[in-house]
Amino acid sequence: MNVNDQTDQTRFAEVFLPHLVDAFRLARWIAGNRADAEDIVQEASLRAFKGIRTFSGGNTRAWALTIVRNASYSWLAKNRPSMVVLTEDLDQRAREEMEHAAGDDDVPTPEAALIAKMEAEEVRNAVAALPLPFREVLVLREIHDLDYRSIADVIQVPIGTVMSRLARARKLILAALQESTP
Amino acid sequence: MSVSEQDELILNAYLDGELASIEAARFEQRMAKQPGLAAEVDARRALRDRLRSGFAEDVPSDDLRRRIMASVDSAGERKASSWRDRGPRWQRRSW
Repeated sequence: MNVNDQTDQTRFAEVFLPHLVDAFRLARWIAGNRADAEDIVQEASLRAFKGIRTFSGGNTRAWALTIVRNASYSWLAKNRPSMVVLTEDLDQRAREEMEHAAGDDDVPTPEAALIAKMEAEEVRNAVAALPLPFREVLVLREIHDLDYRSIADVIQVPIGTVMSRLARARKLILAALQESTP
Repeated sequence: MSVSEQDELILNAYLDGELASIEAARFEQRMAKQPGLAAEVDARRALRDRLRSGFAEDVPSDDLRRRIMASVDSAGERKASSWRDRGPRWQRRSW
């Protein structure tokens, strides 16, 4: 092993490895199960190692999550192509639905107390049922605690799109939980 | 209660701490007058609390780290050997 490889491995250990748990959780929410998530993270790790010299400083977590997210989408395109939807169509639909919903009292607001009483499992199932573009934004915000700017960097969309997808994701989940309440 | 698209974005940004302090204060004043808005924020906060609970055990297997180190090591070796193969011409044997 030469000096450059030593440096690459050290940098990889410093930049990517500290975010392994975050990487796994993102892949798990995108792919839907642990085994596939681990395969995705292994592939993402290799990509990160090969591209470690392109990391020019800054937020290592966002950099690592961007690679994991891209690796997840490659994996989905190959193994679950039906899950990869056209996000432009979804965004357009979400905007229209939100505009339509304004002034529309069809969806009652679930009380906070009601949600607090629900099993965590039930809430997570509702997240798992969200269309992918909404699910990933919600997961990056709620599970990874990323701010809007970082989410925009990871999924490579404008902040306005992050905001509308996040608003839509929460609204969809609240409506789904409300429906599931007897 | 239903809220306008604009308020929907604002109440989410408020919950996420993305509003400037003056905007946040203004929104709090509105919530004080409109309990429906406050309930929407509370519902989303409860959703967050529920989503964040119980994640301590949601970690990858020990095997994943071992697999990663093995694939990175072998990628590192491949890189090193490709550099050796492309060594300076004067180092290459010519017979």
